[in-house]
Amino acid sequence: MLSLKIRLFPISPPPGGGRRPFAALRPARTAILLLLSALLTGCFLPPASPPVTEVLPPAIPLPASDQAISYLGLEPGASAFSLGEVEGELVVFEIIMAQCPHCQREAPKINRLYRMLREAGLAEEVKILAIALGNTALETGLYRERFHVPFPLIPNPDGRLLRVDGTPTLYLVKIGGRDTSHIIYQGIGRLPPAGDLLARIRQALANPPTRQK
Amino acid sequence: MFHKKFIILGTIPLFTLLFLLPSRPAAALEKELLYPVPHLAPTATHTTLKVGDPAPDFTLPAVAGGRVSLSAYRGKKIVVLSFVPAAFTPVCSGQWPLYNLAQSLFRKYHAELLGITTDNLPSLYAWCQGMGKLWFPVLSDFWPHGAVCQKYGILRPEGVAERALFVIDRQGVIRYIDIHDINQRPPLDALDRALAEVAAFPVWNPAPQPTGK
Repeated sequence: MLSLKIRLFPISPPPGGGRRPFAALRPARTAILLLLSALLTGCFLPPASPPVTEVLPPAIPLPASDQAISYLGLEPGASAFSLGEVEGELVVFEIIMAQCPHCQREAPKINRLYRMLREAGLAEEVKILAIALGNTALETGLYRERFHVPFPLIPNPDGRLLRVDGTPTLYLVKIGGRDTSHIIYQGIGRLPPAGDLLARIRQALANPPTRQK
Repeated sequence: MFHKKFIILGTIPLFTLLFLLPSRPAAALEKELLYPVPHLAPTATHTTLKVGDPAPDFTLPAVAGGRVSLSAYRGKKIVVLSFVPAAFTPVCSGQWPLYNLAQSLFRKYHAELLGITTDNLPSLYAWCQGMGKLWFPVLSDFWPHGAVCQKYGILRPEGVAERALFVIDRQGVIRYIDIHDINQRPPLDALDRALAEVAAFPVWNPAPQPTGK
Protein backbone atom coordinates (compact mmCIF):
# COMPACT_ATOMS: atom_id res chain seq x y z
CA MET A 1 0.00 0.00 0.00
CA LEU A 2 2.83 2.34 0.88
CA SER A 3 4.52 1.98 -2.45
CA LEU A 4 1.19 2.51 -4.21
CA LYS A 5 0.61 5.75 -2.38
CA ILE A 6 3.99 6.94 -3.41
CA ARG A 7 3.41 6.14 -7.04
CA LEU A 8 -0.03 7.74 -7.28
CA PHE A 9 -0.15 11.26 -8.57
CA PRO A 10 -1.29 13.58 -5.72
CA ILE A 11 -4.46 15.32 -6.82
CA SER A 12 -5.90 16.40 -3.47
CA PRO A 13 -5.66 20.14 -2.70
CA PRO A 14 -2.31 21.07 -1.30
CA PRO A 15 -2.19 21.74 2.43
CA GLY A 16 -3.10 25.30 3.28
CA GLY A 17 -5.76 25.53 0.55
CA GLY A 18 -3.42 26.85 -2.10
CA ARG A 19 -4.91 27.80 -5.42
CA ARG A 20 -4.82 24.97 -7.96
CA PRO A 21 -2.93 25.43 -11.18
CA PHE A 22 -5.17 25.95 -14.24
CA ALA A 23 -8.09 26.97 -11.99
CA ALA A 24 -9.20 29.46 -14.61
CA LEU A 25 -9.72 26.61 -17.05
CA ARG A 26 -12.12 24.72 -14.80
CA PRO A 27 -15.33 25.82 -16.52
CA ALA A 28 -13.84 24.90 -19.87
CA ARG A 29 -12.72 21.56 -18.51
CA THR A 30 -16.20 20.85 -17.24
CA ALA A 31 -17.65 21.72 -20.61
CA ILE A 32 -15.16 19.47 -22.38
CA LEU A 33 -15.90 16.61 -20.03
CA LEU A 34 -19.63 17.04 -20.60
CA LEU A 35 -19.10 17.08 -24.34
CA LEU A 36 -16.90 13.98 -24.22
CA SER A 37 -19.43 12.23 -22.04
CA ALA A 38 -22.21 13.03 -24.52
CA LEU A 39 -20.05 11.92 -27.46
CA LEU A 40 -19.12 8.68 -25.72
CA THR A 41 -22.76 7.97 -25.00
CA GLY A 42 -23.69 8.67 -28.60
CA CYS A 43 -21.02 6.28 -29.89
CA PHE A 44 -22.56 3.37 -28.03
CA LEU A 45 -26.21 4.13 -28.63
CA PRO A 46 -28.00 1.26 -30.34
CA PRO A 47 -29.15 1.96 -33.87
CA ALA A 48 -32.48 3.74 -34.16
CA SER A 49 -35.57 1.56 -34.41
CA PRO A 50 -35.80 0.08 -37.87
CA PRO A 51 -38.07 1.95 -40.22
CA VAL A 52 -41.56 0.65 -40.56
CA THR A 53 -41.37 -1.24 -43.80
CA GLU A 54 -43.76 -4.04 -43.05
CA VAL A 55 -47.36 -3.59 -43.93
CA LEU A 56 -49.73 -4.67 -41.22
CA PRO A 57 -51.89 -7.56 -42.35
CA PRO A 58 -55.09 -6.42 -44.03
CA ALA A 59 -56.95 -9.59 -43.08
CA ILE A 60 -56.33 -11.33 -39.78
CA PRO A 61 -58.34 -14.50 -39.15
CA LEU A 62 -61.05 -14.05 -36.56
CA PRO A 63 -60.12 -15.45 -33.13
CA ALA A 64 -61.68 -18.80 -32.31
CA SER A 65 -63.23 -17.82 -28.99
CA ASP A 66 -66.35 -15.69 -28.59
CA GLN A 67 -64.72 -14.00 -25.63
CA ALA A 68 -61.83 -12.81 -27.81
CA ILE A 69 -64.19 -11.61 -30.54
CA SER A 70 -66.21 -9.69 -27.99
CA TYR A 71 -63.07 -8.19 -26.38
CA LEU A 72 -61.93 -6.87 -29.78
CA GLY A 73 -65.44 -5.66 -30.62
CA LEU A 74 -65.58 -7.57 -33.91
CA GLU A 75 -68.47 -8.90 -35.95
CA PRO A 76 -68.88 -12.57 -34.96
CA GLY A 77 -69.87 -13.73 -38.44
CA ALA A 78 -66.81 -12.36 -40.28
CA SER A 79 -63.93 -14.61 -41.27
CA ALA A 80 -61.23 -11.97 -41.04
CA PHE A 81 -60.65 -8.43 -39.80
CA SER A 82 -58.12 -5.62 -40.04
CA LEU A 83 -56.62 -3.80 -37.07
CA GLY A 84 -58.59 -0.70 -38.03
CA GLU A 85 -61.79 -2.57 -37.27
CA VAL A 86 -60.84 -3.29 -33.68
CA GLU A 87 -63.01 -1.41 -31.23
CA GLY A 88 -60.97 1.15 -29.35
CA GLU A 89 -58.40 3.83 -30.01
CA LEU A 90 -55.17 1.90 -29.95
CA VAL A 91 -54.05 -1.70 -30.50
CA VAL A 92 -50.98 -3.27 -28.96
CA PHE A 93 -50.14 -5.77 -31.70
CA GLU A 94 -47.57 -8.41 -30.84
CA ILE A 95 -46.03 -11.00 -33.15
CA ILE A 96 -44.59 -14.05 -31.42
CA MET A 97 -43.51 -17.60 -32.13
CA ALA A 98 -44.45 -20.06 -29.41
CA GLN A 99 -41.04 -21.74 -29.56
CA CYS A 100 -39.09 -18.47 -29.39
CA PRO A 101 -37.29 -18.29 -26.02
CA HIS A 102 -37.30 -14.47 -26.17
CA CYS A 103 -41.07 -14.41 -26.64
CA GLN A 104 -41.44 -16.78 -23.71
CA ARG A 105 -39.22 -14.59 -21.55
CA GLU A 106 -41.10 -11.41 -22.52
CA ALA A 107 -44.58 -12.91 -22.11
CA PRO A 108 -45.07 -11.72 -18.51
CA LYS A 109 -44.30 -8.16 -19.59
CA ILE A 110 -47.26 -7.99 -21.99
CA ASN A 111 -49.48 -9.69 -19.43
CA ARG A 112 -48.43 -6.97 -16.99
CA LEU A 113 -49.29 -4.31 -19.55
CA TYR A 114 -52.74 -5.88 -19.95
CA ARG A 115 -53.29 -5.67 -16.19
CA MET A 116 -51.96 -2.11 -16.03
CA LEU A 117 -54.31 -1.02 -18.80
CA ARG A 118 -57.25 -2.42 -16.88
CA GLU A 119 -56.13 -0.78 -13.66
CA ALA A 120 -55.68 2.52 -15.48
CA GLY A 121 -59.22 2.31 -16.85
CA LEU A 122 -57.92 2.04 -20.43
CA ALA A 123 -59.21 -1.46 -21.19
CA GLU A 124 -61.87 -0.11 -23.55
CA GLU A 125 -59.61 2.30 -25.40
CA VAL A 126 -56.60 0.01 -25.74
CA LYS A 127 -56.76 -3.60 -26.91
CA ILE A 128 -53.98 -6.15 -26.99
CA LEU A 129 -53.80 -8.71 -29.75
CA ALA A 130 -51.06 -11.21 -30.59
CA ILE A 131 -50.30 -13.47 -33.53
CA ALA A 132 -48.39 -16.74 -33.16
CA LEU A 133 -46.50 -16.82 -36.43
CA GLY A 134 -45.96 -20.31 -37.87
CA ASN A 135 -47.74 -22.01 -34.97
CA THR A 136 -50.73 -24.30 -35.06
CA ALA A 137 -53.73 -23.91 -32.78
CA LEU A 138 -52.33 -26.64 -30.53
CA GLU A 139 -48.94 -24.94 -30.21
CA THR A 140 -50.56 -21.57 -29.63
CA GLY A 141 -52.83 -23.07 -26.98
CA LEU A 142 -49.83 -24.50 -25.12
CA TYR A 143 -48.18 -21.06 -25.11
CA ARG A 144 -51.40 -19.44 -23.91
CA GLU A 145 -51.78 -22.03 -21.18
CA ARG A 146 -48.17 -21.86 -19.99
CA PHE A 147 -47.98 -18.06 -19.86
CA HIS A 148 -51.60 -17.40 -18.87
CA VAL A 149 -52.11 -15.07 -21.82
CA PRO A 150 -55.23 -13.05 -21.01
CA PHE A 151 -55.68 -11.39 -24.44
CA PRO A 152 -56.47 -12.87 -27.87
CA LEU A 153 -53.59 -14.89 -29.36
CA ILE A 154 -54.31 -16.01 -32.89
CA PRO A 155 -52.44 -18.91 -34.53
CA ASN A 156 -51.02 -18.44 -38.02
CA PRO A 157 -49.82 -21.94 -39.01
CA ASP A 158 -48.36 -21.06 -42.41
CA GLY A 159 -46.55 -18.03 -40.98
CA ARG A 160 -47.47 -15.88 -43.95
CA LEU A 161 -49.68 -13.30 -42.27
CA LEU A 162 -46.86 -10.77 -42.15
CA ARG A 163 -43.10 -10.61 -42.36
CA VAL A 164 -41.04 -9.58 -39.37
CA ASP A 165 -37.29 -9.39 -38.81
CA GLY A 166 -37.49 -11.19 -35.47
CA THR A 167 -39.74 -12.09 -32.60
CA PRO A 168 -41.22 -10.78 -30.51
CA THR A 169 -42.16 -7.78 -32.61
CA LEU A 170 -44.44 -5.21 -31.03
CA TYR A 171 -46.46 -2.52 -32.74
CA LEU A 172 -48.55 0.18 -31.16
CA VAL A 173 -51.19 1.05 -33.70
CA LYS A 174 -53.40 4.11 -33.32
CA ILE A 175 -56.71 3.18 -34.82
CA GLY A 176 -58.28 5.57 -37.23
CA GLY A 177 -60.44 3.28 -39.31
CA ARG A 178 -59.61 0.63 -41.88
CA ASP A 179 -57.31 2.81 -44.02
CA THR A 180 -56.07 5.43 -41.63
CA SER A 181 -54.48 3.50 -38.79
CA HIS A 182 -50.99 4.59 -37.86
CA ILE A 183 -48.09 2.68 -36.42
CA ILE A 184 -46.77 4.87 -33.64
CA TYR A 185 -44.20 2.45 -32.28
CA GLN A 186 -42.40 -0.65 -33.46
CA GLY A 187 -39.96 -2.70 -31.42
CA ILE A 188 -38.17 -5.97 -32.12
CA GLY A 189 -36.69 -8.28 -29.53
CA ARG A 190 -36.65 -7.44 -25.88
CA LEU A 191 -39.60 -5.24 -24.99
CA PRO A 192 -39.54 -2.02 -22.97
CA PRO A 193 -40.92 -2.31 -19.43
CA ALA A 194 -44.71 -2.40 -19.24
CA GLY A 195 -44.69 0.98 -17.47
CA ASP A 196 -42.80 2.57 -20.36
CA LEU A 197 -45.22 1.09 -22.86
CA LEU A 198 -48.13 2.42 -20.84
CA ALA A 199 -46.53 5.88 -20.85
CA ARG A 200 -46.17 5.73 -24.64
CA ILE A 201 -49.78 4.63 -24.93
CA ARG A 202 -51.00 7.48 -22.73
CA GLN A 203 -48.99 9.93 -24.80
CA ALA A 204 -50.39 8.51 -28.04
CA LEU A 205 -53.93 8.73 -26.73
CA ALA A 206 -53.37 12.34 -25.73
CA ASN A 207 -51.76 13.39 -29.03
CA PRO A 208 -52.95 13.11 -32.59
CA PRO A 209 -51.03 10.42 -34.49
CA THR A 210 -47.99 11.25 -36.57
CA ARG A 211 -47.47 8.98 -39.52
CA GLN A 212 -44.01 7.39 -39.65
CA LYS A 213 -42.25 7.54 -42.95
CA MET B 1 -13.67 17.85 -6.24
CA PHE B 2 -12.12 16.89 -9.54
CA HIS B 3 -12.53 13.27 -8.54
CA LYS B 4 -16.23 13.61 -7.84
CA LYS B 5 -16.94 15.50 -11.02
CA PHE B 6 -15.00 13.04 -13.10
CA ILE B 7 -16.85 10.12 -11.52
CA ILE B 8 -20.25 11.77 -12.01
CA LEU B 9 -19.54 12.66 -15.63
CA GLY B 10 -18.06 9.27 -16.31
CA THR B 11 -21.11 7.49 -14.98
CA ILE B 12 -23.47 9.29 -17.38
CA PRO B 13 -22.43 7.24 -20.43
CA LEU B 14 -22.03 4.15 -18.29
CA PHE B 15 -25.57 4.26 -16.94
CA THR B 16 -26.95 5.24 -20.30
CA LEU B 17 -25.29 2.17 -21.75
CA LEU B 18 -26.63 -0.03 -19.01
CA PHE B 19 -30.15 1.15 -19.74
CA LEU B 20 -29.89 1.08 -23.47
CA LEU B 21 -27.97 -2.09 -24.20
CA PRO B 22 -30.74 -4.45 -23.03
CA SER B 23 -33.03 -2.84 -25.58
CA ARG B 24 -30.94 -4.19 -28.43
CA PRO B 25 -33.00 -6.64 -30.43
CA ALA B 26 -32.67 -9.98 -28.70
CA ALA B 27 -33.70 -11.72 -31.88
CA ALA B 28 -30.66 -10.26 -33.61
CA LEU B 29 -28.41 -11.60 -30.87
CA GLU B 30 -29.96 -15.00 -31.26
CA LYS B 31 -29.35 -14.94 -34.99
CA GLU B 32 -25.70 -14.20 -34.34
CA LEU B 33 -25.45 -17.32 -32.20
CA LEU B 34 -27.09 -19.63 -34.70
CA TYR B 35 -25.17 -21.26 -37.50
CA PRO B 36 -26.81 -20.43 -40.83
CA VAL B 37 -27.71 -23.67 -42.54
CA PRO B 38 -28.36 -23.78 -46.28
CA HIS B 39 -31.28 -25.75 -47.68
CA LEU B 40 -30.42 -29.43 -47.39
CA ALA B 41 -31.74 -32.58 -48.99
CA PRO B 42 -34.94 -33.23 -46.99
CA THR B 43 -33.78 -36.73 -46.02
CA ALA B 44 -30.60 -38.61 -46.84
CA THR B 45 -31.15 -42.04 -45.30
CA HIS B 46 -33.51 -44.99 -45.59
CA THR B 47 -34.17 -46.61 -42.24
CA THR B 48 -35.02 -50.26 -42.24
CA LEU B 49 -36.95 -49.88 -39.00
CA LYS B 50 -40.71 -49.87 -39.29
CA VAL B 51 -43.72 -49.57 -37.04
CA GLY B 52 -44.07 -52.80 -35.04
CA ASP B 53 -40.32 -53.42 -34.76
CA PRO B 54 -38.70 -53.51 -31.33
CA ALA B 55 -36.87 -50.24 -30.67
CA PRO B 56 -33.08 -50.79 -30.58
CA ASP B 57 -31.85 -50.27 -27.06
CA PHE B 58 -29.10 -47.79 -26.26
CA THR B 59 -27.33 -46.07 -23.40
CA LEU B 60 -26.07 -42.52 -23.89
CA PRO B 61 -24.53 -39.82 -21.73
CA ALA B 62 -26.90 -37.02 -20.70
CA VAL B 63 -26.18 -33.30 -20.50
CA ALA B 64 -27.52 -33.30 -16.95
CA GLY B 65 -25.01 -36.01 -16.00
CA GLY B 66 -25.14 -39.78 -15.86
CA ARG B 67 -26.24 -42.11 -18.61
CA VAL B 68 -29.73 -42.86 -19.86
CA SER B 69 -30.88 -46.21 -21.23
CA LEU B 70 -33.98 -46.65 -23.33
CA SER B 71 -34.67 -49.99 -21.62
CA ALA B 72 -35.07 -48.17 -18.28
CA TYR B 73 -38.48 -46.95 -19.47
CA ARG B 74 -39.78 -50.34 -20.60
CA GLY B 75 -43.01 -51.22 -18.85
CA LYS B 76 -43.20 -47.73 -17.35
CA LYS B 77 -43.63 -45.03 -19.96
CA ILE B 78 -44.20 -44.27 -23.60
CA VAL B 79 -40.97 -42.85 -24.98
CA VAL B 80 -40.56 -40.24 -27.71
CA LEU B 81 -37.12 -40.09 -29.28
CA SER B 82 -36.48 -36.74 -30.91
CA PHE B 83 -33.35 -36.83 -33.05
CA VAL B 84 -32.26 -33.44 -34.36
CA PRO B 85 -29.32 -32.70 -36.65
CA ALA B 86 -27.21 -30.18 -34.78
CA ALA B 87 -26.96 -27.78 -31.89
CA PHE B 88 -27.00 -24.04 -32.62
CA THR B 89 -28.91 -24.38 -35.87
CA PRO B 90 -32.15 -22.49 -36.55
CA VAL B 91 -34.79 -25.22 -36.91
CA CYS B 92 -33.48 -27.38 -34.06
CA SER B 93 -33.34 -24.30 -31.84
CA GLY B 94 -37.09 -23.90 -32.35
CA GLN B 95 -38.11 -27.55 -32.14
CA TRP B 96 -36.88 -28.33 -28.63
CA PRO B 97 -38.06 -25.06 -27.01
CA LEU B 98 -41.48 -25.96 -28.38
CA TYR B 99 -41.26 -29.38 -26.72
CA ASN B 100 -40.17 -27.57 -23.61
CA LEU B 101 -43.41 -25.62 -23.80
CA ALA B 102 -45.37 -28.82 -24.39
CA GLN B 103 -44.43 -30.59 -21.17
CA SER B 104 -48.10 -30.83 -20.15
CA LEU B 105 -48.89 -32.60 -23.42
CA PHE B 106 -46.23 -35.27 -22.84
CA ARG B 107 -47.33 -35.66 -19.23
CA LYS B 108 -50.94 -36.11 -20.35
CA TYR B 109 -49.90 -39.24 -22.25
CA HIS B 110 -47.44 -40.40 -19.57
CA ALA B 111 -44.71 -40.07 -22.15
CA GLU B 112 -41.04 -39.35 -21.67
CA LEU B 113 -39.12 -37.37 -24.26
CA LEU B 114 -35.46 -38.02 -25.01
CA GLY B 115 -33.62 -35.49 -27.17
CA ILE B 116 -30.64 -36.85 -29.09
CA THR B 117 -28.02 -35.29 -31.36
CA THR B 118 -24.55 -36.30 -32.50
CA ASP B 119 -23.01 -33.21 -30.85
CA ASN B 120 -20.62 -33.66 -27.95
CA LEU B 121 -21.69 -32.94 -24.38
CA PRO B 122 -20.01 -29.52 -23.95
CA SER B 123 -21.66 -28.17 -27.12
CA LEU B 124 -25.02 -29.58 -26.08
CA TYR B 125 -24.59 -28.09 -22.63
CA ALA B 126 -23.96 -24.59 -24.03
CA TRP B 127 -26.86 -24.90 -26.46
CA CYS B 128 -29.26 -26.08 -23.75
CA GLN B 129 -28.21 -23.15 -21.56
CA GLY B 130 -29.18 -20.83 -24.40
CA MET B 131 -32.57 -22.46 -24.84
CA GLY B 132 -33.44 -22.22 -21.16
CA LYS B 133 -34.03 -25.03 -18.74
CA LEU B 134 -35.26 -28.07 -20.66
CA TRP B 135 -37.38 -30.54 -18.73
CA PHE B 136 -36.38 -33.58 -20.80
CA PRO B 137 -33.04 -35.42 -20.95
CA VAL B 138 -30.73 -34.35 -23.74
CA LEU B 139 -28.38 -37.13 -24.84
CA SER B 140 -25.15 -37.07 -26.80
CA ASP B 141 -24.58 -39.64 -29.53
CA PHE B 142 -21.14 -38.21 -30.20
CA TRP B 143 -18.93 -41.22 -29.52
CA PRO B 144 -18.77 -43.74 -31.08
CA HIS B 145 -19.96 -41.10 -33.47
CA GLY B 146 -23.65 -41.48 -34.32
CA ALA B 147 -23.77 -45.11 -33.22
CA VAL B 148 -27.38 -44.85 -31.99
CA CYS B 149 -28.43 -42.89 -35.06
CA GLN B 150 -26.92 -45.65 -37.13
CA LYS B 151 -28.91 -48.29 -35.18
CA TYR B 152 -32.05 -46.36 -36.06
CA GLY B 153 -30.91 -45.93 -39.67
CA ILE B 154 -30.94 -42.14 -39.56
CA LEU B 155 -27.26 -41.14 -39.61
CA ARG B 156 -26.83 -38.85 -42.59
CA PRO B 157 -23.63 -39.04 -44.65
CA GLU B 158 -22.48 -35.72 -43.17
CA GLY B 159 -22.45 -37.33 -39.70
CA VAL B 160 -25.60 -35.77 -38.25
CA ALA B 161 -28.98 -37.25 -37.42
CA GLU B 162 -32.06 -36.86 -39.52
CA ARG B 163 -34.80 -34.76 -37.97
CA ALA B 164 -36.63 -37.85 -36.76
CA LEU B 165 -39.29 -38.79 -34.25
CA PHE B 166 -39.91 -42.28 -32.93
CA VAL B 167 -42.74 -43.09 -30.54
CA ILE B 168 -42.12 -46.26 -28.56
CA ASP B 169 -44.82 -47.92 -26.49
CA ARG B 170 -44.36 -49.29 -22.99
CA GLN B 171 -43.41 -52.67 -24.37
CA GLY B 172 -40.51 -51.16 -26.26
CA VAL B 173 -42.13 -51.43 -29.68
CA ILE B 174 -41.96 -48.63 -32.26
CA ARG B 175 -45.47 -47.29 -32.94
CA TYR B 176 -44.75 -44.12 -34.93
CA ILE B 177 -41.92 -42.95 -37.16
CA ASP B 178 -41.52 -39.52 -38.71
CA ILE B 179 -38.31 -38.98 -40.66
CA HIS B 180 -39.10 -35.36 -41.27
CA ASP B 181 -37.80 -32.90 -43.83
CA ILE B 182 -34.59 -31.73 -42.14
CA ASN B 183 -35.32 -28.13 -43.19
CA GLN B 184 -38.63 -27.93 -41.35
CA ARG B 185 -39.85 -28.20 -37.79
CA PRO B 186 -42.39 -31.02 -37.40
CA PRO B 187 -45.68 -29.55 -36.20
CA LEU B 188 -46.58 -30.69 -32.73
CA ASP B 189 -50.04 -31.76 -33.89
CA ALA B 190 -48.85 -34.92 -35.67
CA LEU B 191 -46.91 -36.03 -32.60
CA ASP B 192 -49.92 -35.26 -30.40
CA ARG B 193 -52.11 -37.49 -32.56
CA ALA B 194 -49.52 -40.26 -32.53
CA LEU B 195 -49.20 -40.11 -28.75
CA ALA B 196 -52.97 -40.11 -28.32
CA GLU B 197 -53.22 -43.21 -30.49
CA VAL B 198 -50.43 -45.07 -28.69
CA ALA B 199 -51.72 -44.10 -25.25
CA ALA B 200 -55.26 -45.18 -26.11
CA PHE B 201 -54.24 -48.66 -27.25
CA PRO B 202 -54.26 -50.85 -24.12
CA VAL B 203 -52.48 -53.83 -25.69
CA TRP B 204 -49.53 -51.61 -26.55
CA ASN B 205 -49.54 -50.04 -23.14
CA PRO B 206 -50.36 -52.46 -20.34
CA ALA B 207 -50.64 -50.71 -17.02
CA PRO B 208 -47.30 -50.63 -15.23
CA GLN B 209 -46.97 -53.60 -12.86
CA PRO B 210 -46.69 -52.65 -9.20
CA THR B 211 -43.31 -53.50 -7.77
CA GLY B 212 -42.82 -55.44 -4.52
CA LYS B 213 -45.25 -58.08 -3.23
